[in-house]
Amino acid sequence: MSIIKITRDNLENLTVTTSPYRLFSSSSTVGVTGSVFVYAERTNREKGFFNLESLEEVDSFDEAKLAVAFDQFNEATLKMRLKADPTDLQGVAGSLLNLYNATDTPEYRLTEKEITRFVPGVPFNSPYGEKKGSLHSGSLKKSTVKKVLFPYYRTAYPSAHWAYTNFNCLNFFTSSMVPKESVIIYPSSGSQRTGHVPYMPDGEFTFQFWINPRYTFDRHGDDFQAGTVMHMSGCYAVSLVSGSQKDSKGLTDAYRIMLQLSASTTIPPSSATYAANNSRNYGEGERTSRDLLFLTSDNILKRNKWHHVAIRWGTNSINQGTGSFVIDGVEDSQFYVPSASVTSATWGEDTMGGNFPGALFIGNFFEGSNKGAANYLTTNFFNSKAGSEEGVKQLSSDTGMAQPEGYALNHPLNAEIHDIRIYDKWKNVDQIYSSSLRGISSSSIKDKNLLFYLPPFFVKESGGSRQVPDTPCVNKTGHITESPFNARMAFSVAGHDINLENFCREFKEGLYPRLFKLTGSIQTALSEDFFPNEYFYDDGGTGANPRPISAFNRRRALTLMPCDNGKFRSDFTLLDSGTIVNNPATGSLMGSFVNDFEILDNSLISLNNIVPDNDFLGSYEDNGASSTYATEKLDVNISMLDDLAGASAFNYRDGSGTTIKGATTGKGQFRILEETGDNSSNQVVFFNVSNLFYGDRIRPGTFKLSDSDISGSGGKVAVTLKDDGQGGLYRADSLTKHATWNNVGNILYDEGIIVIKSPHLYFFGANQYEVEFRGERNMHALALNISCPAGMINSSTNPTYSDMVPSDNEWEKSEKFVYITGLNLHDDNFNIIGKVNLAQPVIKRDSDRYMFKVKFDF
Amino acid sequence: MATLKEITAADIKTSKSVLNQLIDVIQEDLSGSATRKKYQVFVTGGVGPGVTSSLFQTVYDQDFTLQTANPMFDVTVGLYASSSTVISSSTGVDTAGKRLFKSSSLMMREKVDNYRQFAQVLLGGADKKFVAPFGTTADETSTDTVNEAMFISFKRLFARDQVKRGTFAMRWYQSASRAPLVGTNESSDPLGNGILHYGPNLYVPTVSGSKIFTDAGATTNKKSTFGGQVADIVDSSDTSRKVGLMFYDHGTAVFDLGKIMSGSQHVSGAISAMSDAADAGDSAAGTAIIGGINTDNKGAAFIPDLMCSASIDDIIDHISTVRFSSGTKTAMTFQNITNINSTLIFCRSTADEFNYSSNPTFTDSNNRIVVIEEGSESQRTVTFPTTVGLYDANSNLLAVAKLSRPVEKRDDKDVTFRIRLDF
Repeated sequence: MSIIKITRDNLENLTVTTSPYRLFSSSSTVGVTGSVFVYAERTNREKGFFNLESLEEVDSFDEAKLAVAFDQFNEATLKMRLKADPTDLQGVAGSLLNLYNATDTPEYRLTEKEITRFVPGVPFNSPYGEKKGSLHSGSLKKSTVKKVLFPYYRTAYPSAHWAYTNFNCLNFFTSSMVPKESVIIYPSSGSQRTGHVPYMPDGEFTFQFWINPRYTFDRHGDDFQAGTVMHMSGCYAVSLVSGSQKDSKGLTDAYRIMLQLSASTTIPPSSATYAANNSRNYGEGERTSRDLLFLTSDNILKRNKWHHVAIRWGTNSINQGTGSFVIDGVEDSQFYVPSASVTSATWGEDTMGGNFPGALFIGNFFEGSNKGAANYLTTNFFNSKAGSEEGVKQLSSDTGMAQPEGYALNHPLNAEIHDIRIYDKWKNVDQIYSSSLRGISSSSIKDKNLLFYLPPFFVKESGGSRQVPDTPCVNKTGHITESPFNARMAFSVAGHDINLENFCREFKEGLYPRLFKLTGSIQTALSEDFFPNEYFYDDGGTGANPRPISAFNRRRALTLMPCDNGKFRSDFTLLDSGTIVNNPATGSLMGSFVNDFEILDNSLISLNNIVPDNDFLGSYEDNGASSTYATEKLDVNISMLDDLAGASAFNYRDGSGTTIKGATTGKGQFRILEETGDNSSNQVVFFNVSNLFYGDRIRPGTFKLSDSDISGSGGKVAVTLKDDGQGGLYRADSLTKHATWNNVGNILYDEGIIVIKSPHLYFFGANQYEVEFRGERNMHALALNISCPAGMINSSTNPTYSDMVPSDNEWEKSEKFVYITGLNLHDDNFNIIGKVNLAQPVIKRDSDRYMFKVKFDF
Repeated sequence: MATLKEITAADIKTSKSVLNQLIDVIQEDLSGSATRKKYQVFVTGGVGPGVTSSLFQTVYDQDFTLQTANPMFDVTVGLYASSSTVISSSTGVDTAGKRLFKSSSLMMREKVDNYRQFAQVLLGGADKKFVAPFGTTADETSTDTVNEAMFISFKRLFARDQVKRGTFAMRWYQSASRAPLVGTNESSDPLGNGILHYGPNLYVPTVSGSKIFTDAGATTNKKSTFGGQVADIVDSSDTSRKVGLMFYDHGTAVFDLGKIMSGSQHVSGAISAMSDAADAGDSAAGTAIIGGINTDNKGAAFIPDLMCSASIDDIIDHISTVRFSSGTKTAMTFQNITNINSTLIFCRSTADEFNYSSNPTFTDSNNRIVVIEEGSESQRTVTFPTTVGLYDANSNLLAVAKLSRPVEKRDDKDVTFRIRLDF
C-alpha cells in the first residue's frame, strides 16, 4: 500500500446545471394540473403507522371487536394485537392484515404542492377576508417582499420598486359581460386656439394612432362588426373593419381601416358599402353622403399585431387633394378629395346651435343628429348632471340641459389603441414614421398643429370633482382622485376600482372626457353581508337583487391595460409639471412619479403613499355621527371590528396628539390602512412557487404567466406576462415585438415569488392561471485526479503476494506487477474518509502510469 | 450579524431514534401483469420458436410504465442443487462438471444458480442450503431443508434499514383451484387410471383456503447469521411448522415451497417449452401442456413437475396469480425500520450575550440604538435573533439554522437554541 498526497491541483470542482421544465395550471372549473408531490418517492402501499405495543393483547380472534375497531379506528379504540403465543394466531393475524389493508396512507406522504395566488390587504373575516380578528397573512407576506426582498434584490433587478411603468393602452372589447355602448367622449369646446373648435381640423389633417386588433368573433359564421376608433360627428370617423382573410377556424384574422369624412360620417360603419378601392373621383359639389368613405387595402392589419396607422390629407392644395393611408410607415392606399375642407367652416367656437359637432368619441360611433332639438346634441353628454356626478366639463351654463336622447352607440371598437394624435397638418411619410417610434415630449406638445393627444398616461389630476365610490354601495361626492385606483375603496373594504379618469387626460387641450358607461357605479345596498368586489362587479344574476350597472364597472376595470407594443417608446417628459426637482414632495403633482427612493422617475407610477395624509385625516371630519355610513350595512362590519379590537382601534391622533373628530365612533374609513399601517398599494397579486418546482431558482427569461380569461371580460381578455431576465414582468400578448421595458410586476427568481404590481391586472388569475417556466438546479461534483506514477505502487503487503510476470505475452518485459483493486482516501491524520473500489483489478507494472479519476456527486 | 461563541463538546450531544413505516402489499400488485415487470434475459434456441424468460420479476406499487411507480420487491424461485427435484430430473454431469437435463426440463441450471446466489449472500456460501427452522442440522431428505425455494427481496425504499421483527405476515393460498373439466364431474377419472383430472388450474386464481405465514415470535427468538438477523417464518395456524426464513437486514424472505404449497396437487395448463408444432400435440409451438389428459405427464404435480418443466417466468406467474390470489386484500405486510442519528447542538446565549445587532436599522443616523420611546431611561436593548450560523475553527460557515420566527432576546434573560442535525 502506498500513500500519495493529493494536493489542491488534483481536485476539480464542476457543476452541471439542470433545467427542469414546469407547466402548472389552476382553474376554478377544471381544477389543478402540474402540481408536484412533496415526497418524490411515495407509495400508497405505505400505511398510517400505529404503535402495536399500545394495543391490548388478545389471544383469539374477535370478529365483533374487529368491526368496532374499524369503525372507531380514528379514536384509537382498537385494543387488539398479536400476543406472542395466542391461541388463535391465524385469526388474529388475519384480522391484523385486514386492519392494515383498511388503513389509509398517511396524508402527508401524498401531499402535493401547488403554485398559489394571493392578494394582500384583506384583514377581516367575512365579508372582507379570511381570518377573523387577525391580519391576513397576505399582508405580512407583502410586507416581507416589499420591505426586505425588494431592497435586497434591487441591485440586480432594477425594476424592484413598488411602482409600475406608466405605459398603457386603451382596451376596447365587446362581450356579453360588458355594455357595448361604452365610449370615451371628449368635449369639443373651449379650445385654447381662439377661433377653432377643438379636435376639428379646419382643412388639412393627419390622424395617427397605434392599433392592435387582437379580438375576433367567437364562432365561425359570426360577423366581425365594424368598430370605431374615433368619431367626430359630421367631420370624420375612423373605424376598424374586417378584411377578407380568415384563419383555419374561419375567423377573421386580418382587418382594414375605414375613413369617413364630412357628410359620410352619418353612415354607421357596419352599414357602409364601398368599392374595392378608393378609385371614385368626385369633384367639388358632386359628393353625396356615401362619397367620402375610404379604405386601406384589404387585410393590411393582422390580428394581434401592433400597427401604426396614419391617415393624411392636405386639401386640394397638396397633391391635388389626394390623401393616403400610411400603415407602419409605408403608404398603403390613396383617396381623392379635391376640396379645401371636409369640415364645416361655419362651426364656431362654443356655439350651441347649428351643426356643432360637440364631442369627440373614442372607441365607438355616435349615431345621432347634431341638428334639431337641443337634446339631440352631442353636447348634451356634458350636461350639468354629468358635470356634478362625473366631474366633466359642462358645455353649457344651462343647469336644465337634458340628457341626450335619440342616439345609438352600436359600433364599439374591438382593439387596443394608444398614442392617438390628430394634427391639422398634412404630414409626410418620414414625419409619420419618426413620430410613430416615440411619444410626444413636453416640448413637442406645443406644436400648434397638434389638436389632440391621448397617450394614455396616468396623471394626478382627474378632471373635476365627482362622485367616487367609497364602498360598493356608498358614494363620496365632490371628490377628486390622485392615484391609479380608488384608494378609498381599497383601504376601507378591500374593494377594487380603477381611477380611469386619471388616465384619460387629453394633453393638448388639457381636457378630461366623460367616461360614458365606464364610471365606477355603486349598487343598491343589501341587507346581508357581501364581498365588496363580488358585489361591485357581479351582476347578481337573476336573483332578487340584480345589479345591471355592474357591467359598467367591469368595463371600466378592463378599459386600461398595460401596453405591450415594443415598436413604440413613450416620452415621459410630457408629464413634467411645475418646477422639476429630483425629489418631489409627496402629494405634489410629480409626487406620484417616483421610485422607492422617492427619486423622480417620470416613467413610473408610484404605489407608495396612496392615501394622502389630508385625505386620511379628513375622512374623520367627513364622516361623523351624521355620516351615511350609519345607515349602511358596512356598519355591521365596523362593529365586528369594534368587538374584536375595541373602538379605540379607530382612534386617530394627529401630530399634536389630538383625537380627530368622529374617530371614536368607529366610522374611520381607512380601516385596512389603520390595521396594517401600510399606505402602499394592496391592489397587487402574488404568486408563490415552491422551490420543489424549480430547484435553486427559476431560470431567468423563461417565466410565463397567463390568464386566458380575465375575470369580468366574458372570455375576451387574455393576458400573458413574461419576465425580462432581470426580475421584471412585462405584458407579452401581441405577436409583434413586446415592450419589455413596460414593467408591470416582478419575479424573484431565487425565492419563487411573483408579484403583479399593476392594479389593472388585479383580477389576473382570479379564476384561472397558467404558469410555465424552467427551473435551475445545480448538480455539484468533485473530481479527484489521483495519479499513480511509474516507479511507485509496485509492491503489495498482501501476504499472498509474490512476484509474477503480468502476462505470457512475448512482448512482456516486466517481471512483476501488482493488482490495484481499490483506493483509500485519507485525511491529514490518515483516517480513512473515503474508499473507492474498482470494478475489476487493474494490472500495474513498475513502468505503468495511471491516473484514477474519482468523482463525488453531492 | 453575528457574534461568535465557541461551542464546546459539552454543548454537543448525539442521539438515535427509529422511524417505522407500515407496508401493505395487496394481492393485485402481484397478480396484475402491469405491476409485475419481467426481464426476459433467458433465451433458448434450436427447437421451435424458443423460450424466453426472466431470472426474477419485480413487483411495483402501480403500473411500472408510469414514472411514479416504485419497485417494491423482486420475486424468484430456486432449487437446491442436491435436492431430489434436481437430481432426479438430471441426466448426468458433463466432463466440465455441468449438470445436464432433459429438454423437457427448463431453466434448471438457472434455478439452481438462483438458489446458490441467495445462499452466497445470505448464508455465506453458494453450496449451503436454507433450513427451516434456522440452525437445525438437516440433510437433503429432511423436511427442514428448503429444496424448492421462493425468494422475496424487498427493495430498499420499502425495507429501509431493516425489516422490523415480528411484523411480517403473508396471506398465501396453499392449493390451486380445481376447475372441473368441461362436461365431466369434478372428481373425474376419464382415463380410468385412478388419476383425478380437473381443468387447467395453472393460472386460475384461488379464492379460498388461505393461510397466513408470519414471523411471530421473532422478537424473542433472535438469531444471526452471515446475512444478518434471521428468524423463522411460521404457519400461523400451527406455529410449530417452520415454512421459511426472514432475513431482516437484507429484507429478504425465503419460503419453502414444499411446505407452503400443496406440492402433490395435480397441475394442468400450458407452459413455455422447447417444442415445435409437430411435436407438441395439442399445444401450440413453443408451449407444452403439463398435466393434460392427453399428455405423457398426465399425472403431473406442482412439485416436482412444474418446478422442473416450467420456466422461471411461468412459475412466478403461477405463484403471483394463483397463490396470492387476485383482489384488494393484503398479500404481505411488514413494518420497516429507519434509523435516525441526530446531533444536538446547544447554542446558549447568556443574559449578557447577543444583545446587540449589527443590522443597520438597529441604530439611527447618530449611531444610537433605536428605542421605541425616545427619552425613556428605563428601556433596554432588545434583539431578535433570526438565524444561528455554525462555523468551524477557521470561521468557515458550515451550516445555518433558521428560526421559524424571530425570538426576543433581552439582557435580563438567557436563551438556548437547540439545533438538531438529522442524518
